[in-house]
Amino acid sequence: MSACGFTTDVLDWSAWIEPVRLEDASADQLAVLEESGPHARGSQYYHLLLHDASALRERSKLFNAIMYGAKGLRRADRELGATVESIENGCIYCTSVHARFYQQLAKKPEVVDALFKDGPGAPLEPRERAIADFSLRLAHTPPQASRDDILALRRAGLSNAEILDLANAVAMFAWANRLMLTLGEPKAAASE
Amino acid sequence: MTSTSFLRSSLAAGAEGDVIDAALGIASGSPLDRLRSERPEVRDRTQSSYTTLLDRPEPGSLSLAERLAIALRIANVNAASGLAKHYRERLALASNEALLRAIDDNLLGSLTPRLGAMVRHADLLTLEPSRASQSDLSLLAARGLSSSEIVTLSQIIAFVAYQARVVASLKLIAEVE
Repeated sequence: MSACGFTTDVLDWSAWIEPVRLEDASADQLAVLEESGPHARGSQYYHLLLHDASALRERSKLFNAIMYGAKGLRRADRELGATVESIENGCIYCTSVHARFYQQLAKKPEVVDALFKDGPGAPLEPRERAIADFSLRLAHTPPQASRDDILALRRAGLSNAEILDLANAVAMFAWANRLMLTLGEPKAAASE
Repeated sequence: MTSTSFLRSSLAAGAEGDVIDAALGIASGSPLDRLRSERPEVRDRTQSSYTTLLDRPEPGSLSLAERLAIALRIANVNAASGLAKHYRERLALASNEALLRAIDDNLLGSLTPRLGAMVRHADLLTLEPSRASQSDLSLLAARGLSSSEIVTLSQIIAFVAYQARVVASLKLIAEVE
């Protein structure tokens, strides 16, 4: 775990308000849970979001299209954008999941080590640096990403469609971080 | 609800494009329109998330005026002028001039205690998300928000954060064309 609490360990997340109990859930709520993905059924976070099932249904489909869509930017690069946004917002839970996915996909453990040690401005290779710079500045409120950030992504070889894929991933984590940060908190995972 | 159906055709969706197209003035067949159409599922689900959260509220939950006031506030804080214009026009039709002015001019004291608490929470989560705590949810509950309304409020706040970043990025991509 880094000095500011970031980790790639598997964490749990605990809700601050009562989630929907599956035994009380409607057929539609259970269908939304099923559609959201294999991880949703056992997750307190998804059970809580079932309080507004129609919003969760659209959000899960959007999340999956942005993060797992077959076309476009490499998945590792989307995960790097999600990780930088999550670090900047201080979302320890989102960072743990998506830094771990990045490491598994990119096989570059030094990138996450540097981000945890020195923050989103840590020294990185040019492609990772261009992705991290854009993601960091897009995370700010109001967003601070600039034309120079777009030009740096182009120099790193990203097409406009790939830049939009990255932007969508960062924007999706502006959303996900805020839900996670306001509705509950991370917990160390119970040992098996 | 004739005003709502008018909005849906003129501002919200319509054959000419979705809210993000409207916020950026993206014309059918333009480079940004073609770029967005390369990711149809992302485009469609972005719009259906908007519709679910901000155009067709569930009965018995946050009112349309409350939802649009929060969305306008967040668009303003994100300096997303095209989105803010969209939400301002919709709020003007769903509510009254006084509410519009309270949001735009930061006159939070003139809001109902319930909406004031929601707008303060929106500001916190928009600007300093990591400072949000369990006691902030208790403040909302003390103003009568149910667990379900707190989840919907959180989704609206977080969705407009997403929307503002999509709009900002598309604008930059077009500028560097």
